[in-house]
Formats: sequence, structure tokens, C-alpha cells
Amino acid sequence: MKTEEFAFTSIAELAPLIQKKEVSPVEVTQGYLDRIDRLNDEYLAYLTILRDEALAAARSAEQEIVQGQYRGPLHGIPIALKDLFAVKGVRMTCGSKIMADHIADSDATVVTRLKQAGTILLGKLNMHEFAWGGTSLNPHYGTPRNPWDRTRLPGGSSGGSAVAMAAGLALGTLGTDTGGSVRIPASLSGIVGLKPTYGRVSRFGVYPLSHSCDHVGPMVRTVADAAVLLHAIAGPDPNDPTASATAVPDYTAALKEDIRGLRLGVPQEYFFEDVEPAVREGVQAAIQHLSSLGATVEAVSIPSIQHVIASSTAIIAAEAYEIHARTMQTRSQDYGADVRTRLLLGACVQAAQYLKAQRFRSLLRQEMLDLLGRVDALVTPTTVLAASRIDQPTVTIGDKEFPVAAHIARATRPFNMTGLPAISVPCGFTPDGLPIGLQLVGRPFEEATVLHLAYAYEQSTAWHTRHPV
Amino acid sequence: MDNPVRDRELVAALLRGKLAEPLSENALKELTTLYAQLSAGLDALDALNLSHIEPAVHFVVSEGERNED
Repeated sequence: MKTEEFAFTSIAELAPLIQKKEVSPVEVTQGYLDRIDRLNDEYLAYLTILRDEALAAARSAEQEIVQGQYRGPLHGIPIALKDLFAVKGVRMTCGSKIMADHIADSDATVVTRLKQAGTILLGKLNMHEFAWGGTSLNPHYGTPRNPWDRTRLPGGSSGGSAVAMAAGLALGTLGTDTGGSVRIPASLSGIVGLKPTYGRVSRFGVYPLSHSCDHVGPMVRTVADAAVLLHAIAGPDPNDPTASATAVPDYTAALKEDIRGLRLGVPQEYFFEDVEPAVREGVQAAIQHLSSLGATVEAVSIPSIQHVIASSTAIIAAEAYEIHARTMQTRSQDYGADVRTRLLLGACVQAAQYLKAQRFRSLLRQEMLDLLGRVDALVTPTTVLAASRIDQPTVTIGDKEFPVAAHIARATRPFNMTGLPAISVPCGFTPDGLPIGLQLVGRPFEEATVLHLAYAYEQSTAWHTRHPV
Repeated sequence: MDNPVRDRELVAALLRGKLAEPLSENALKELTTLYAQLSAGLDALDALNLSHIEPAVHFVVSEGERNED
């Protein structure tokens, strides 16, 4: 295998070759580092590149494998992390000026687990400042560029993670998702992004945005890779009281192409309103395709869904402000203008408003759980628009104009509010050649079901085989 | 009823002592608009009669742990 051939391969394809010693982790790591050196100035995916550390870890992995100490499907696999995961001794900026020189003094739990699995850390990835935005527009480090069209946004807040995957600059990444920050960039950049159930993955050592809405999830090129990475990072953690003791199944075993008999619900309100026509057509074609594979598709209703944006904004903004309140008193001028405004919106949310939003959240969750008693999964667009130009603050759909920064999270936020597992899988392209994402949502802790459905869709289509570069 | 002056005064009062540097006029205006939109959206929840519903706190974890039992 030549170095350039690694660039767009998957973990699932490469791992057996590493296990059989047909491919060297050092060779693969060197290949990715060379690509990062060559391409990162164009894409602005990485904020920190760990060249020496990565090569040392790759040599160590290679030695272990040669000695017969193969750890599993992530051993010797080069990955990268959104720059809000703490890695001991490594800079963690959170995409901000405020933390530009911060060095983490311990590992996040997911980092510990990925190290134990034998991964090689290539570096830390660009993001929306403090994860408080869905575009990845970043005034401090530059905006990561969508590899399908470098004049366009990759989506956010985990924009660097999506760009690294779409441009072939890592084999796997992790992002975080508070209002859609794994799934939005996955959709806009043509990769797979999985937001697990709230509580499925520890958040210890992950810089928070909103304690009750934050989730950690894999951003990868294929559904099988999402299953492998989720299995490695999921499970209880004594350092995170929200990490659930619910058993972690073998997600890879759930990857089957037969979906006959599974029941899919297509919400009739909200998710298909104010959607770009090309996105709507792509998602409707994907739903027809799932039906042709044997799934049962029915229209469903979520009566209170239209209130979700105001409620989720109140909750996320208030929780985010609480985290930044002290820094705002001393360094408010060092935040980017958009993030400062969003944080200050949280300062204005009053306790009664916050609690009312949390009451609504209970209602919305119950409506969705009731639905998921009748169907196995919900199907929606991941984003209601494809990637916008970086200099484009608004988007016109029909005769209405929407702010890109707000409209981009319309279809993802409901599942941060309800904590349900949701995956974005590529399902087509607009006439401009921009990726479209399909969102599949399951019951709590039933990631295996959404992975199963996404895998069946992916394996029976060719969208995931296209690459932008 | 919309009352921009009242909203602006409320936002300015809520931000008192919370910033290292005062906001520009434009930033205060933008924030006031966002807060008015948010408040209107939250006021609309009153139509749902939520008073009998418990606020959500770490709901999914408790669900998962029940599944485990």
C-alpha cells in the first residue's frame, strides 16, 4: 500500500493489514504527517501537530505488534482530536485566544481509553471557539475549510475534525456535540458523525459548553469505523457521574445489511420545513432507498417540536455562561464577537426561564419516547442546508431569509435536548457538489440500531466512496 | 407587546458587573434583539401548560440505569 492510498482508507480496512504486519503503523503515521505538512495550510484543520510524539507512539505500536501483542482494531491507527479534549502535556486551546497557552495536566477519560486501545495521536483540531457555534468560523486561528469547496464552511463546532476526515488527514477523530457539533460538520463535509446517547461516553477532561447537552462522539469516514471508535470510548467512568453503567454492546456485531422489518418514522412537522430543496430531495430519496431495502416507513408527529429552538437556546446559553462567567469579568474582550454575544445571552436568561425550558425538555423527550415505542428510529435531514460560503451570513430558502449560524442546527438540536443517539451518514450531493447528510435517531442506549440502519444504507450506496481531493 | 427600550434597559441591567469592558452600542443592540426573540419563544411555551411537568435533569442516565436493572 502506498502512502497516498492510506489517506482515504478506513480503520476497518487498515486494521487487519496492520494486525497481519502487512502495513507498518510507522509508515501510515508518517504518511498522514506528510499529508498534514503539505495540506494543513490550505485546510486549517490542525491547531497542534504532534509529529515527534506520533512517530514515537507508532514505533512503540509497531514493536508491540511485531512481538505479538496486538491490542485490537485501533492498535497503530493514527487519529486526531478536537482541541477541547485534554491530553496530558499537550496544548488545549478550545479554539480560543483565552486558552491559547493552556497545557493540559491530565488525560480526558476518552483519551486514556484511546491510548489503551493503541491509537496514535497526530494532533489537535480546529473548532468553533469554546464549541459555542455551528459554523467553525474562528477569528483567532482562521476558519477550517470545507474540502469539497474551500470557500465554504465545514460546519461546526467540530469543523477541524470533519475537515481532517474529508481531506484525508487522519483515520479517525472525536468531536463533541451540544447542539449538533458532531453531526452538522459530518453532514456538511460528507463524513459519518455519531452523537451517542447522553451518558454513553464520559466527558471527564472534555472542556464543557453545556453540562446537560454535551456529548462526545466519533467523526469518521465509515459507519463501521464509528462502531469501532464508540466501542473503545463508551462506558462508565468514576470521574463522570453522568457516564452510565448501561452495558456496552459489540457495536460492530450490529453492522448488518438486512434491515427488513425495521420501522422508521418520518416526522411530518419541522424537520422538512425551511429546507433547501436539494437537501430535501436527497433525504427523501434516501428514505425511499431505506424503504426499498425492506424497512417500513411511516409518517409520525412530534406536536411540540416547534418550541425546541427557544428552549434549547435558553438551556445551552445559560449553562455556557455559568462556565465562562468569571473569565467574562476579566477578559471579555478576548472572546470572538459571536461567542461573546452568545455567552452574554446566557447571562440574561433568568432562572424561571431556564426551568421553563427544562420542563419543555421533559415534554419533548416524552413525546419522542412515545414515538420510539412504535418505530425503531426517526429519519430526518441532518442539516436543512448544505455548506454555505464562509462570507455568507444568511441563507435564502423560498422567500425566507435565515441566519446561517442559527438555521444550521435546526434539525440536530432536538436530539441534544432529548439525549437520544443520532448519526449522520452521507446521502448525496447538491447540484453544486456539496454533501448532504441523513440523520437516523434511535432509542436511549440503542446506538446499535442507528449504526445498523446507517450501515445498511451506506453499504448499498456509493456516497461514502467519493472524496473531495 | 414589543418594547425595545424596556428590553434594552433589562439587558443592560442583567449585564451590570459581568463584563471586563462595556459592550459597543451595536453589540448591545444585537444582544437585545436576541434576548427579545428568546423571551418571546419562551413565553410561547405557556400555551403548553407545563406547570405539571418536572424539569429535566440527567434524564437519560436514569433511563439507562433502569434498563440495567
